[in-house]
Amino acid sequence: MNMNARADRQIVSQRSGLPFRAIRRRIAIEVFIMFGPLLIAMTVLAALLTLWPLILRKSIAENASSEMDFYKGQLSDIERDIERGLLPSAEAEASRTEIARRLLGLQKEQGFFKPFQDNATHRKLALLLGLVVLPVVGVGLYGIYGNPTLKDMPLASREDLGREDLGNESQAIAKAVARIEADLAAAPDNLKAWSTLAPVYMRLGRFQDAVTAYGKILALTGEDAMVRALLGEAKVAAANGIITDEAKQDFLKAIAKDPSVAMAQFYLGLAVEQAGDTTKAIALYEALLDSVADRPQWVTAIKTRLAKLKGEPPAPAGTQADQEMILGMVSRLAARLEKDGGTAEEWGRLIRSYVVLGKRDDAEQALAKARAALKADQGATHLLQSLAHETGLSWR
Amino acid sequence: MTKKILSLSFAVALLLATQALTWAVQPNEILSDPALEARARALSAELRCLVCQNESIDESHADLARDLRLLIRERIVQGQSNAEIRDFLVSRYGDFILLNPPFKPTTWLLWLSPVMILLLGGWAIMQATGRRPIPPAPLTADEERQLKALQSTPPSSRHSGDV
Amino acid sequence: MIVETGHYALVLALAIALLQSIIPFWGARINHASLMLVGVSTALSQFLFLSVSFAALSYAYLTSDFSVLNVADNSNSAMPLIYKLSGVWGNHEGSMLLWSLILSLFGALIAVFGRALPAPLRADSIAVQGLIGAAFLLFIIMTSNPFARLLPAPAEGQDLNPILQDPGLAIHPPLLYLGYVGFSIVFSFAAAALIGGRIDAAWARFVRPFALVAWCFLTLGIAMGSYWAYYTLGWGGFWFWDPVENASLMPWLAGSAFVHSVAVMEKNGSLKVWTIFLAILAFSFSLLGTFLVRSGVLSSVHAFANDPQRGVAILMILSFFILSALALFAWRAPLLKQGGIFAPISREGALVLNNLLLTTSCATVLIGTLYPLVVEELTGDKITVGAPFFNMTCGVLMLGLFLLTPFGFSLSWKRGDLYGVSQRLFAAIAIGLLGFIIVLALDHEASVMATLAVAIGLLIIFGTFTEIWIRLQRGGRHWAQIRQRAFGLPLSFWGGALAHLGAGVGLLGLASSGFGVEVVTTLQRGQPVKVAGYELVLDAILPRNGPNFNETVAQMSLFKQGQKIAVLEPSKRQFSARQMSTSQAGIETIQFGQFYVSISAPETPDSVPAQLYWKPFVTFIWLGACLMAFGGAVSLADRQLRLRSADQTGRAAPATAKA
Repeated sequence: MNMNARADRQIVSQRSGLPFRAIRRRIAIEVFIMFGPLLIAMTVLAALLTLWPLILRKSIAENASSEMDFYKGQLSDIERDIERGLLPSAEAEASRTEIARRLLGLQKEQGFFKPFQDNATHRKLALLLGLVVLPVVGVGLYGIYGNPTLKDMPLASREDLGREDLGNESQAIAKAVARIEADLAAAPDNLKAWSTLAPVYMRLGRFQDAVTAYGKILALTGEDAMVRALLGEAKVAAANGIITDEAKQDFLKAIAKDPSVAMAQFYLGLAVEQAGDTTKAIALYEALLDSVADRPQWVTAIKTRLAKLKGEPPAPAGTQADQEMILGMVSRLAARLEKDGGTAEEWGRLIRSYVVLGKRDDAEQALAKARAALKADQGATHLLQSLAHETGLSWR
Repeated sequence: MTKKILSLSFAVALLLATQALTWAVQPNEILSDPALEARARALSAELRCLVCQNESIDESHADLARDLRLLIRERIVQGQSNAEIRDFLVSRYGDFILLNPPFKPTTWLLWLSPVMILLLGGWAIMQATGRRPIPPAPLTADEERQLKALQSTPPSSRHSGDV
Repeated sequence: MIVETGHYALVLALAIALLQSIIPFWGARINHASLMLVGVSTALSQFLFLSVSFAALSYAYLTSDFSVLNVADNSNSAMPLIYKLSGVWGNHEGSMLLWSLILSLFGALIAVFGRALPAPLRADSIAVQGLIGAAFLLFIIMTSNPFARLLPAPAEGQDLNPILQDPGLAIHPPLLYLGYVGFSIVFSFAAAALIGGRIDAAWARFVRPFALVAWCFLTLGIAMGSYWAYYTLGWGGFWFWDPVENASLMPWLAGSAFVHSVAVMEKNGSLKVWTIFLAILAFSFSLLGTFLVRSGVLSSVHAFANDPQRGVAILMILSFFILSALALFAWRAPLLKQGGIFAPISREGALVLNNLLLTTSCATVLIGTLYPLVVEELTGDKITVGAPFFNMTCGVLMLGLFLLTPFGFSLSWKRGDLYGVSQRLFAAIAIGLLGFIIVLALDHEASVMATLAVAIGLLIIFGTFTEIWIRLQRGGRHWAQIRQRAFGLPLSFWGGALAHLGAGVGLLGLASSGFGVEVVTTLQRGQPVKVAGYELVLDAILPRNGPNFNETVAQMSLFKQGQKIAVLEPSKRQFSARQMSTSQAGIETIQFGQFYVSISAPETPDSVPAQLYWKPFVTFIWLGACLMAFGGAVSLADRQLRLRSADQTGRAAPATAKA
């Protein structure tokens, strides 16, 4: 039952034209607006940290003397050992001679050592190289492999968002919701804000908030059959799919205002079903089926209920004929993709269809084929992988 | 990007093949005669578990390894010699089953390489050091003087410009 | 944002590494001061940005951010904190990031501690280090990106491989990598010296501390991995000659040869060509090991489902660096002037022999590891080169090396007196022989190798003590004189002595594995089983729940002469997230030996098949390794002191110079 409520919610959100896409885009832009300056700051920091010797014209002192120090130390070690008689003198003398020669050689060489130079042309060229390489390599490669519009999604921040995990969207949406809520705290009578929020609350599973929001909309706009039905649905969802009396009153009010609101009719049928009156529920659903014939979402939902009540095996979608039609579509899609290839989305649709139809073997095969076909496309591979994660298909 | 298993450190994956097991030889496989059992253990330590690479059948928990262990014990009880059993297994599974590769044309290089490298290296060392070491000519008075001068100057404290 | 910051830091690190490989090199060619100094700034900032990147990935792991593919695949919100953290390097991508981080750390070390180096040498070695870094960073970003994202983020991660959920394996990889990758610095120094053409005793002095650091960590890393295998794999083995183990052993053998030959080179400038060659070799083996482990080319159990793309990429990196280093070597080596001279019987001569044996062992391991692959490729025959082959070949070579050790340590530089040294070591030789006889008398079935190992182990230990004593009493046998002398001896001497003692102790531990007691039986509750003078009783078999696993524990009591001395709890763990099980051995250390129990799945609630071992002196194996690493560290302290003394306190150097 809860499933039904959820299915409806999805539909409702679509119908009420919720600007999810727009919200998502806005969030992406917003994240980038925050991340962009960070990106620039990091690049500048990298340039400063790596190129300061060129910028400040920093120099190093002549350094060959460390080698001389080393030999001098060695030499005094040997001389001390000779003094103490710790080394057979012939060998010690030979060692001393060898080291002394190296030391003298080094000193001679040092006369030829060119002093360090500080040629400005080379310095500027190197600086230029650095200033080109850092941003070009940095932004270039990051542009290919990075996801500058994605935020962190630590588990803790996602846990309160309910079972239906929405991935990064959920984060982004939660953020947007929080902003709108803040606006509402300042101006509580903003109808547009409430209208935006209500379906989002439903989608996020914040059903009690959705009840408040729809209530507020009703108060602001006056009685409206659709909104009344949505309020009822929110109450049903908040009650874990039970049609409470309060919700039932809402559906009745909606129908009184406009009998064609299918949602209200459907939930009233569901109320009867929950009351245990199967026969009456079937009758109600069948009557409703005729009146919503042009709205396929409702047809599917009602047919599922009917199938359940009539004790038929829960068909994934629709009747036998529907099934066959779907199978035909799926196999045509499969044939086309196999022959001509396709995008990750198309493959994804095929794989999903197989999963929904319970054909896991086919799904696995399709996944493998899709991977092989889209191997070169990293984005597509990602998409497929997340699909595999989501549907529980193996990803080896 | 494939789903990869971790291969971080050495020997980790040893376990992957053996993850379900604790150890190999089970009490019920053991022969009652300790001498025969010792032979069986020694022999199985030389034989490779064919399915779980780089483990002897003595260490492996795979079913195949168990079958081989039982087979070895059976044949030992029947009175076969180690060589007979080994030959039988090689005829059945090839040289692959021997952890100690046999000495034959394809493995000559393997077995002889340590000796060859050792001899070659030894020869090279003889060549390099065989020449009679000539002690360097003693420092001339001039060199001694320069050396004294060098040693009396304190080591410079440089590289300060380098932060 | 943190995750993406880490990703961008990784990309910036690559850009910096590219600059690091170009600008200082350029500066060294034209002797340009500030260009060379860019080596320092790039090395430090590459390390900084990689640290940021690594920290960001760690953050994603710690917060269970499953929108990061790598985290989703290798972590789980129920995992204990330590394994969330160790999960960072418990997978291909993360471990390659750690690899690069450590690579850049060593680059930064040259920048920080290399002030006393001649500027062009420092600039060039930093540039080579930068080039290696750039190659690996490019590899990571393009084929093994740990920051790849997963959308939508799954609700739960797939858990870290249960085998890696062990404290030993949590710290094993970083240790091993510090060693593995540490040899990169030696490689870079060698390449820089070849490029610059100045290769002398001073070069050896500069490079030695870095080589010692790498060698110490590699020693510890290998020992750690071996102990982990010992207590997890369940049959008490500690070394399996698995290709991946061999991959870590090869750089260790080459590195051990290097730390010895570099000592000769530092002392009198000889063995230049050979030392440079070893420097190239040691890191080449590290690269080869990385390739073998990462590419799955070995048809061992390690051959994971890695795509060939990665293998080919690493192979290209490997070939590029090894071949160009060898080309550089072939071009420059013949130009090197001969260094100091020494007689065949001398410390130098012994170290040459040491190098010969170590490199032959190394070559044997290499050939043994790759031979089956080559034979199969050429003839189609499948053969196996397993533990018995390596035990025999490397065993003999290493025994020879260990036999040589006390003599080499006692011989003097330039020209030694073998007869005199043998006289000095008379007591140690006698103890070794006595040990040999006693072992044979007590255990008629003892293997020749194990008995020889006991004898040689004793010889090394007592030979080293003899040498220490001889050095100590040189200034007089009075207590105060000895004490003064002990402080007067250079730390590098003490380090060498400790490392050799460690080798002796370790050898005794290895030998002891030939003298253990093993009982395979089914334990019945309440019925004692006798093993080597101990009695073991099964008390109970209980289920227990861990944070992310369930285990079956067999509780046992260990008795000695009727006294209860320990409780053992071997168990089998079942990890639900990956449907895998691991086993935990029950181990009780008694003096230096260990009582070791591992169980199979219980047959009834009151009985469990078990393998019981008494392993005398087994801990010597790892104690020896720790002692070796400690010796290396002591030696290192000396080097650092000297580097500094040449730097700041140089004025006082002649006065405090060591004997």
